[in-house]
Amino acid sequence: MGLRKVKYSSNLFLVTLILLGILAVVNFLSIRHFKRLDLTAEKMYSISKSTQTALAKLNDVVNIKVYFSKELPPQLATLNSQVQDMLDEYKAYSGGNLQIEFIDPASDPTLEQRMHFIGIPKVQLNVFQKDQAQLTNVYLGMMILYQDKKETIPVIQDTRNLEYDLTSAIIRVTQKEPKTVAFLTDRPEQELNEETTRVREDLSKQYTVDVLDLKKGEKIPASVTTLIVMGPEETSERAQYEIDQFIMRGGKAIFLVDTIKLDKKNMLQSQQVKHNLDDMLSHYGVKVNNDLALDRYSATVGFNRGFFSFRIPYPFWPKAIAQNLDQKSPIVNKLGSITFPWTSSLELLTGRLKTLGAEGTVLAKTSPHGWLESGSYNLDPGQKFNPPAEMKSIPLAALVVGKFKSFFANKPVPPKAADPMQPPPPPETGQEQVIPESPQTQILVVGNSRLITDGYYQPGENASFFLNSVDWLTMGDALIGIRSRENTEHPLKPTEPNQRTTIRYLNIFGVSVVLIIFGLARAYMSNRRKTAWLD
Amino acid sequence: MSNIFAIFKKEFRSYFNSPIAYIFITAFLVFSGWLFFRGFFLIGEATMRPFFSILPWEFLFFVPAVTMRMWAEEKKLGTIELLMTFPLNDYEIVTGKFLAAFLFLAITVLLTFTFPLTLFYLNKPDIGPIIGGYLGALLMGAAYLSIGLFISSLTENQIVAFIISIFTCFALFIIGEQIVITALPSWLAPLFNFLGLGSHFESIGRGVIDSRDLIYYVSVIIFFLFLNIRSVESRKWR
Repeated sequence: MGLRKVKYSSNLFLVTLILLGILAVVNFLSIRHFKRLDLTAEKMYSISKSTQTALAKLNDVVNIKVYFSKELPPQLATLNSQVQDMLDEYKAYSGGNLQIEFIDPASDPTLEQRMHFIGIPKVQLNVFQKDQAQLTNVYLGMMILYQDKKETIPVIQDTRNLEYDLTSAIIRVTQKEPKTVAFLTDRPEQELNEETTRVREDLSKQYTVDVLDLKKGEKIPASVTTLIVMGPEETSERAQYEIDQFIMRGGKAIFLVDTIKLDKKNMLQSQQVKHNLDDMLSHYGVKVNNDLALDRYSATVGFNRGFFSFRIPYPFWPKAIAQNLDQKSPIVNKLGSITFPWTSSLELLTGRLKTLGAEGTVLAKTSPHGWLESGSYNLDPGQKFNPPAEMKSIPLAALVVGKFKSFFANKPVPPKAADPMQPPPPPETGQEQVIPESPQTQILVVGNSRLITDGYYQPGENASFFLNSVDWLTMGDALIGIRSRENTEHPLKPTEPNQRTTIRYLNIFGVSVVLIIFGLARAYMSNRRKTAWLD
Repeated sequence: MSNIFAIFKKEFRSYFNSPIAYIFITAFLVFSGWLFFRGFFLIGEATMRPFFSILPWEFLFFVPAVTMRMWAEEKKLGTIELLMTFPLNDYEIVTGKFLAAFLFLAITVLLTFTFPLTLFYLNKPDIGPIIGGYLGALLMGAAYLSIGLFISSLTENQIVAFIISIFTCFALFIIGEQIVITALPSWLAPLFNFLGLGSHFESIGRGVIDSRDLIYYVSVIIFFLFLNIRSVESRKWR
């Protein structure tokens, strides 16, 4: 009897082991040969159209060397395979023009010494071993080589931004030379640097970033492709002339125009700014109104009051959600929302646009519950806001595409500013030639410059909006569509409190109540049947 | 095939002929609905993510409750002896019971259909992650079920089956999670991450149907159903 039992159970053990082995092999093979089906609307986890086009354009071999340590700490265990999955997909679209190599720098001491010069740093990470936190050194970088040029991605922490980094690196190594984006401002350079570290860091991944002093009113260098007019406090006529002529030469411009300036110490005190750009922008077909736009559906803002801090919706920060963004424009149609902190309303001057033959589009607007305030502003978040009875959708960001007429055509050329340190320049020989009309170009206008300063520059909303704008103006749409992918938000429609309560309770109890009634009815019926049968 | 269907029908009916099904479904809907809608309007996002991210934890308690009685009760009441005298194969009984439990769980989960409807009413959500989430939930639920079913066949005490099932599912879930992974030596981490029940669910829940995840879940289900068949069979020689 006992023998039989032993026989059976050892048999069972063996069969189980065999099955386990088969399953392990099947799973192991499946890891090597897999298929994926991406169900997300934006094809969020597949490489984007932009990358596919960029890869299809390659006409020579691009080498990618992935410097990953073999021994990665456990928290990054899956990173290696994720990166590999993504690169496999890249390779599939490259038509054989992508060579990928995985290298462990630790395997070769001379290579490890060279890593520093390649531009891939040693990353120190915490690992927990035997209840102790220890440091370990790893490499998580990538180098992209094309002909005699190279680009590096120093550290890859996750794959969320990898596609953007990698595709832009490929475009950079294969393009002839990087394009230049310039900030034009009259703010002190240090102030600008402090306020816009994040946006400049992001831009410099892709472009050469310049800062031009508006006060000097110098000629904008021909190398600049896209000009960002960053909240000027006073634009001299000469500076206006230079901006105008830059556009007439076919340059692209983004106007971030402030009509108010906030006090540095007390953010809720404001003063008017005279930027002098009104006439010129109106000439191009867009008007920045001297007001502030408010919206009943606005961003929630945290304020500090002494010891207390509180978070409330702040109408002075309209938040344009997807349904208020132009769904036809590649700049904004994949964004979840854009927050406009203290922004002025815009107006597309349809008559002017018609004479220019240019096309104006509103990229972002407030909800239909927006209104305007002008004059002196009470910016206190605690105040009782009194929206007027008639509320409307207010344009907050606008794009004009077309051929522009010069603002200085048939006008005297404003003289260069006299530099007090230098003797006045001798009168120039001959008139400067005003270019009267531009080729096809684009300008983008927003009623504040705050939205790209560090505090408001959020990935997924303002950051994506601005970088998409710069990309679209500067590079066509080679990169658009990559960045916004991970950022898609789907904000809810505004709801009233009692509507929310109804939705909540209907969802929690609705189906259950129907089900219980069904169950009771069923029990009652079967009971009746039983008793009927007993009778 | 008809034998499997007969078992399936009997088991499935037994849920709805007692108050168990109604209590179970109501508890699940109210519990998950309350958890989901607690922060729903605060977050203000048309996404099912919060619902699906709690689901593995909810399943930990709800799924063993579905399976705990499936064998244990038969053993306790002695109806298993009757069942064994029928001209049925062991695998037919196990498959029938599994399918009944699966359909019951599927109905329970899909009765949360009002959540996605609410999302569509309040905005246009991305439908991919919702489909992926439900598919992942069904696969993960099926894996939990096969574990619970097997453990129920080892004991005649429902409570014991319930607790051991929770513990086993929890163990298989947690080994793939960040908490455990960070404490492992690095050569073991990818293996454990792959073995964990939750990491595959996460991947499908993003809206990406990956053949690796499907094969993993099917493997887990097959393995535990196989163990279940063997453990029922073992009554004959033990």
